[in-house]
Amino acid sequence: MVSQRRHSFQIERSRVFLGTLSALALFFPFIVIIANNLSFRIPLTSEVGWVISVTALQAALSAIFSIAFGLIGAFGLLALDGRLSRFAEGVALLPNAGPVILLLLSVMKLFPWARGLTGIIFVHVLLNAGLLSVVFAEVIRTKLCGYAELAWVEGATARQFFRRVALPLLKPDLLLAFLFVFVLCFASFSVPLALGGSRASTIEVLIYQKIRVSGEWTAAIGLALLQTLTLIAFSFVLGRMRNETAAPTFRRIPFLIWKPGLIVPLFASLILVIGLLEGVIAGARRAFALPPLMAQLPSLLAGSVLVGFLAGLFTVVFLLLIAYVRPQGLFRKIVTAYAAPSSVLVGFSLLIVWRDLGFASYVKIALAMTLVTVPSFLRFRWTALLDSLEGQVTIARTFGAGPGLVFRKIVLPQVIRPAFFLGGLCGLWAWGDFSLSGVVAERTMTVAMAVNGLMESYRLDIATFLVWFVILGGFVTLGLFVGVGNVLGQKPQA
Amino acid sequence: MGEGVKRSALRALPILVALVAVVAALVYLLNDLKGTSSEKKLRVVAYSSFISSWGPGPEIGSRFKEKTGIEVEFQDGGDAGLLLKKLELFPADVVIGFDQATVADAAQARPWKKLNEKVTADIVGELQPRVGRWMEEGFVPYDWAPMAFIYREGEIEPPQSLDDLLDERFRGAIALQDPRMSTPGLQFLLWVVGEYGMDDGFKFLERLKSNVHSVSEGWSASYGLFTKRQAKMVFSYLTSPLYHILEENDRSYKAAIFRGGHVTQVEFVGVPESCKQCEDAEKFVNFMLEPEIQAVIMRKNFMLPVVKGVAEGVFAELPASIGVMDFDKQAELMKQKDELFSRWQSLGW
Repeated sequence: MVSQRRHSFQIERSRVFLGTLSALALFFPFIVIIANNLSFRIPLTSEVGWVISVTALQAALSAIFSIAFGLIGAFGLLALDGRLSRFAEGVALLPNAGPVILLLLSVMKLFPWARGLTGIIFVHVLLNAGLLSVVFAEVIRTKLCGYAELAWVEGATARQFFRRVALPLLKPDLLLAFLFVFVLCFASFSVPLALGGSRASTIEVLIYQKIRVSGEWTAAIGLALLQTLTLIAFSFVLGRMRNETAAPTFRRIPFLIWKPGLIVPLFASLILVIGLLEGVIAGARRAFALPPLMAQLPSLLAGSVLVGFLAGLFTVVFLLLIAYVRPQGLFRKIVTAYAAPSSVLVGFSLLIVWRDLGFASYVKIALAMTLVTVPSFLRFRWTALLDSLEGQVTIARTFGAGPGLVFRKIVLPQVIRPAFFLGGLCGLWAWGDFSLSGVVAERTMTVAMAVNGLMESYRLDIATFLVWFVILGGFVTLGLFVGVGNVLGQKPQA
Repeated sequence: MGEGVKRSALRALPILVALVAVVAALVYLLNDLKGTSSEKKLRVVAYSSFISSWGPGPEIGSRFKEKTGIEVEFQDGGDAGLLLKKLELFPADVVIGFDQATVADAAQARPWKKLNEKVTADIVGELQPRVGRWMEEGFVPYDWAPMAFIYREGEIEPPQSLDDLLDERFRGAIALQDPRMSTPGLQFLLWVVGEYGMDDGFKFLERLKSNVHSVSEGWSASYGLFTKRQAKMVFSYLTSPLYHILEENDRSYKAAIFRGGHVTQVEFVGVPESCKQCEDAEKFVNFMLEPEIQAVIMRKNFMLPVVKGVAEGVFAELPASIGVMDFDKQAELMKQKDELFSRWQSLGW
């Protein structure tokens, strides 16, 4: 009995240790910056005040419209079955895969009115509505199916069902989605930079300006801190709600399917594809006529494969670590509310502590991607998923199961699939990243970095051709992570 | 039994594919990186398009090795602000890529070797009086280009002066860059304010707004809008048409030549005092000014050589003589950077 208690105590200690470790990893960029005596000042000027208000307005409107269209898209996705549904979900994620500049160029061509605040919100909705459609489709499968079936059998109207059942049940998910998109758009960089003009700027744009153009690091660190604190405060206010999730069980109930809704997730991808197809053949021809690029392509592809895989793997490990720790109280609040600082600062803090070059740079890019991405996953999906397991964990603990056993037998089997899905998503984004990689890497190491370099040296058409490698590679990575998650998440057969 | 094995094999397929892909990538990269780190190399930091495989960097590096036996290791420094901070972490022997707008910050940030005595090349006449003060600070020009509006022949009647830009025929046609983010954008702002003065310059910009198609964050986005035919004219380098001639065999791209002269971008190379291979670094800087290397830079960076006699007859499409505006006026204006940026923002593009 005593040895069992000691064992249990040791495992609790390991949870505290791992919890501290994961918190240190999360706050790593700020810790490094402070430890290196990089001072900061928050430039509280009228410009910063203006930027904060514009940023908050565009982020809130982008989030509201993304949620509305995401819901419509989810009902469209639910109208499809099996492989077709999975294919449509993949297409819906397409706008998130490649460099945003390509979607921006297509939007500017097809929708010349999309400028200023309207343009920013429009592109943010295009970027996020597809992703939210996929997520909401999963949430609806999980939460609403049984109720919808019952309501339908009992003769309730669709309106009654949505007002009395669906909206109250989905409220926490909608709030979390709002928080997720708000944070993404609050820290958005490329879109306000390209469409916002001089007025509709964001804090992230100001940070970029301070670091890259004027070299004012103290002001940039101050602004990054201000951005993180604003988001934490906002998340504290909104993020009180606990969410419940369960295993997905979907049956086709008329309330929950609406085929025309498919337009939403497919619309942004269509715009992107139209833009990407233009000039792709000429781009391919010109790429083959550029021998140095062709000679470098295998190493760029290998670099992207490695970065995508490592980013996904690090994300899975990080999420499982958090699942083992199961943050509670203030730690949980902080984990849920935390937003990574500007990507330039994350990249730079990694450079400060790890100065090896060459192979280490691939690992650093992947680590930096993980540090930037994981806070969003924790806020949006992960803590809610862990909350949903609390009841089972409490019962198991009451019956005397130790934390290790609880993790192995209860938590892990239920979180392994979503962990690999989110890992795959981070891998997909890592394939498309060039701005963070540009800070960390000492040379062009991935296909996405080459795409950016080509665009900076007149060769937009070749970049348009290469971006197809980014999209395909990213989706193969996502597919493999989902596949591995499915294999590892399968129940052993008797 | 057979069915079970088949199902298990299918289930394990994603793991197998992922493993094979990662192992293949690892083996390839480890092989690729073998022997790339050595203490004896000359470390040269530059911006990414200069050192990319299609840029001038790799060819210059291999030619330098052929001539001197010294191996060059290029590193991406990023933009000027980031580059100076990266230099604190990764010491370099040579730094390539400051322009006249960022070179003052570089001079202030750290000490640089004084190279003007050691540079033997004959710098082109238009540049000599303008780069002299920076050469005294230790920065050597290696390429340059006047800035100009680029258009497609037959699509638009080109402007011949800044005033012409206000003409009705350019309504919604001009792609510009944000001066707070982009050096070409900054050059344009300095050009306008230098030409008209602070107050009248911003009045001019206010009137120009209706003719502006877009203000992009960087040169690549605005040039992309132009080549995708969404904008009819873009502020870029006077040498930009050379890319279309050399790489696409397309002679329809032209630079609008202004009667009153053009602002100019000059790129500099410097050797930090903290260099480890200082002698080799000085050799490298002089090597960059050798006529055949200047020709490589001209061909691959699409900029003009700074050394006399290299460009003559090579780019027949370029005008023989272009007025170059004074750098000192720009340097003076740069001291009011904050006011310039704040007034630019209040224009509300």
